[in-house]
Amino acid sequence: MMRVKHGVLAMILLGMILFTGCVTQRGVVSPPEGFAHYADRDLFTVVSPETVTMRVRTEENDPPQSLDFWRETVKRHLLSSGYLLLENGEGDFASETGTGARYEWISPAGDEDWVYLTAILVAGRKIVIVEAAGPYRWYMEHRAAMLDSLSTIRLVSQR
Amino acid sequence: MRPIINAALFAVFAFISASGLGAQPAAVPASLAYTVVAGVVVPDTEAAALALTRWAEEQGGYFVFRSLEAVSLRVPPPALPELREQLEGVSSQIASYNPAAKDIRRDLRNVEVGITSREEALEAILSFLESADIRGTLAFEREMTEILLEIERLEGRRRELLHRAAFARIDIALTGSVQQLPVHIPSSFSWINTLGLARFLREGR
Repeated sequence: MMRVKHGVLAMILLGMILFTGCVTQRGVVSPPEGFAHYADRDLFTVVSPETVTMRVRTEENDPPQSLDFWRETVKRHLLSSGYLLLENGEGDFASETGTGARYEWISPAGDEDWVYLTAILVAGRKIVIVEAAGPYRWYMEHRAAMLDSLSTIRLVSQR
Repeated sequence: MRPIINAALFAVFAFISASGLGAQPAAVPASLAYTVVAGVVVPDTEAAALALTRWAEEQGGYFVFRSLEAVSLRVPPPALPELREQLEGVSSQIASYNPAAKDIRRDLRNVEVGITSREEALEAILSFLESADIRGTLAFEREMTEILLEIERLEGRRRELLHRAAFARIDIALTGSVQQLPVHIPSSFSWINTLGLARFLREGR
């Protein structure tokens, strides 16, 4: 009888471990105006009719550092990789999850110039990363809406 | 002989005064000389250069220099407010835009004072010629030649200043978009290496 009880208890504990291990947090934003949400993607993805795309993902804050540290690291990395900062393309934003930093970069892609957005927000052990990109003209049309949506960054639990 | 020489010199002086070189030009607000130095990133430097020079001509101006790397334009100052819009139309990024204006009134005044004083000196010399002997006449002639050359130089300077006020100088450097994505340089932090447009586009497919 005791053996059965221990067995059941072990199964329950194993089940709890497995259950909690499957619950993760992922970053999301409220879709910018004019964007549609792709429900079947692993990462939270929204797309405009002109295919300007915004995606949200999370990474581990490892080694654990502050926003200022990661903001500087991102900026240096992309500048040294050859990206050019858009005019007024650097700034902060506030969200319910905390303050974040954003950079907007100019980069050629094929025959066109594209704008590539990188926004980061440190939420404890997680870093929420928002990336967006589109041809310059279309990106600029949707820019205000996309920057507004950064203020809606939040972490949601998912299995 | 002397009266002939005097008459010839007087004729030259009269020509300068009457030819418009000594007269005020048509009314142009000769106070500010505008310049704009800009740098833009464009997808096609040749097309951008052609578009900008065409715009200058449509505004009543002209281009001084045009190449795949730069254009130098001259346009009437009233066209300047449109320049930025023109640059936005041909480029994907205005990398730099530096307008400036210089007050040229003092320079202009100095030049005009110089011209006036030399014209007065010339008149004085002419009045002395009547009573000069041969040696004196030759000396006066040399003096007058020098003064005439100075007047010509100052007139040239005045024309240059008035032209600078009448046409703004615009120098634009054209940079073609590099047709390749930036190079990926590894960071010490693994997630930083996941950033980049190339990867973003690849993962989006």
